[in-house]
Amino acid sequence: MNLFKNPLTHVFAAIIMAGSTGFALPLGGVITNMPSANETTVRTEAERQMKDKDTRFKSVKVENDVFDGYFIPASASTRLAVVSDDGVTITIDGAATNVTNFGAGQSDKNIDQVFKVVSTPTFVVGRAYRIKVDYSNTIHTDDNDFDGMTLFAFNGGGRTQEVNMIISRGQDGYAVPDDEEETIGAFTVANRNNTDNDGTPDNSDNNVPGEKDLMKLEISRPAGPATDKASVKVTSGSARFWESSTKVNPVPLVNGAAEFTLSNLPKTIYVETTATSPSLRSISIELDYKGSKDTVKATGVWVQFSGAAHDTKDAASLFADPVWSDTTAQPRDWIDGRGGTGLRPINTTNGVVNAILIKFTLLPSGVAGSQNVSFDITRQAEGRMWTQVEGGTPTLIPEATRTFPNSNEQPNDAIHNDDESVSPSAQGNIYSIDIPGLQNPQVPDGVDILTFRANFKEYVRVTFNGIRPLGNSVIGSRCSDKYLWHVAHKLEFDAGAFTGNFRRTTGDTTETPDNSIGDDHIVIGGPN
Amino acid sequence: MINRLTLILFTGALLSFQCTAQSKPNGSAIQIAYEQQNKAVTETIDECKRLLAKDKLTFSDSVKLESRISLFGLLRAEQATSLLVQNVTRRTVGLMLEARAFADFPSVDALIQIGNPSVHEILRRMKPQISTATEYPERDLHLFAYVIRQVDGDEVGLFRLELEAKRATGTHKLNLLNLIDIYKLNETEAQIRVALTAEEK
Repeated sequence: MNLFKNPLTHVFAAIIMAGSTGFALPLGGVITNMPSANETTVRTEAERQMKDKDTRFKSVKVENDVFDGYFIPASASTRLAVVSDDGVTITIDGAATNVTNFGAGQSDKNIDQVFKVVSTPTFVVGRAYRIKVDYSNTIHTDDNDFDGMTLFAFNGGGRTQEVNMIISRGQDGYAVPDDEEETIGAFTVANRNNTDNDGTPDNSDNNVPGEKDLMKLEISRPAGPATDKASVKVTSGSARFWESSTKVNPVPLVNGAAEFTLSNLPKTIYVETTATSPSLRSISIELDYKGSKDTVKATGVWVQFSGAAHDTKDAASLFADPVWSDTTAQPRDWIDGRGGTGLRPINTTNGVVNAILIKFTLLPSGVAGSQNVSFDITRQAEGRMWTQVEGGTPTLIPEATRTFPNSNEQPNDAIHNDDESVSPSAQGNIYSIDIPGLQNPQVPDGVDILTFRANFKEYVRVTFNGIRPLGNSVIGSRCSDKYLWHVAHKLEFDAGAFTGNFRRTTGDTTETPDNSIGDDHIVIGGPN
Repeated sequence: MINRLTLILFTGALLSFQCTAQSKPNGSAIQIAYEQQNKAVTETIDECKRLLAKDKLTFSDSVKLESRISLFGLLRAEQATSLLVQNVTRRTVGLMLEARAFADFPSVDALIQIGNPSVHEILRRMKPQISTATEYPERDLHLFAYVIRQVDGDEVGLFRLELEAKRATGTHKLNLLNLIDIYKLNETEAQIRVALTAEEK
């Protein structure tokens, strides 16, 4: 968190400086008669904001806000005082102060004219003290209410210290706002995918052309001598630093921390999440300059394949199973519509299809509700189809031929999103279905036997900009391993049924190599 | 004739244009891409017409026809809406690698992908002087209602139909009122299939 990005902090900073000229106040006392210059400064600020009707300061609503910064006292006798409206709390180095419950939501154009001295530790000159001001209990009554507070130093005063980092989401995503960098944090993919298609997962690879999953980290320059050093360290979670977004050179570490002389700041480095985060915001990165610190947090997202239902089973039995009971309405409707999974009976409603339901679990737990993190189940396919008249030569149907894309991360069977969960289940699972085959079960002229075999690679991709991926382009990043599965059809004209429909050469009840759907790939091979 | 390679090349041209456009605005690149798409769509429309003119499609022709029609949806080819609306009930084999509704009625999905221009064309076709049919066959209306709902959503779709019916007269109005009646049934794919089968008989 950066203290000085909140509009109120301008007041804070200004008054600390004003206070540094020094005036005497009794420790712990309540002051109503401030020296006129300082009193004027405080009240003028509040009144000017109201008078000018500046949209930003027309009223100061700071509910659910927190600010966080450092103060470096210039004297051991420096004291802090506060003027405030309602309900702020202040901590110094994590310890509560005596400042609580100033008023109770009054609608007042002027800040309550009460200056209160804040209880502080015995200040050590030159040391940075972390000050947090929490407004979460303020009550904003109306547009005339001023919920602000002003904190200032006196008896020698001091200075403020700006120590700040800005972290951005992966995929060249947006910079995380200062007030969200610890509460929401940045998101990216645990770098287990293989962007450059070289067979080595990106987290074990150096120099990855096209890599887009590292998070940009901008480190500002604190005020101080150019030869001073600031350090940046991963204090928790699995992450490492790189000089470039494509992992060309790692940032050298000294005792686990990257050190930068102030003359080399500001600087941008990149953060790779090397493993799936066990919990939201498990990655914590800290910038430290002489005890003044800024912390940003991040989450490495991954999705786990959790199973596939492809044996022949009716929908009611399937969804009674706790493993599948949280299947989301879409794509459950497809399985209900076909009556279940596996080899489905051939009729006008079903067509000739073998059905599969696939389950993935989002990690870490809770990532489903996170802002602007969007998942899409997608697919690569290869397959061939042949038709044949009785006693004739099989004919390849070129329009039905698919080959796997050259790119490891590019789908070729993902034009629609109707076959998968719109959003995750309460348990954090997402589902997809497929029903490869023919929707029209009627045998066309000139066909007595039809053979169709296909292999699929099912996986999940993710974006961090709130736009759900769709289509056969490389969009977002792959965030799961690939589940391999296959389908096989061998169909013939059902002369006895008088429906004109196909039938399976090996019946509808038992899967055979000719008629199946299930795990792993098969040899596509030739027609026989 | 367009094939997948052409589509890839076309897409490549678009991507290439986007890259160029970021560094240097180039109006002619837009024009070239636009003309390429128009040419591809026109050629594909002609190819579809040739296939549709056949009395009976072979299996291979049927797969070819649905793959060509799906391109109209991918390219959001407004020029194809007239062909698609006129052939909305034309049934193909419905080859599915990826599950999708009405896979064996490929015009339905293409019209949905094209979006708003499809609804305009459907409404235009309700006029007897535009359509060859005086009263539109109910088979088509079931699928039109489905398309409009997918494009516009329940309430906007109904509003558009009612507004159009209010302005219409004679057979035009009758067609729209029939369409509104079917629209209000809010039919699922399975229900529409039952209706289509019943009307075939």
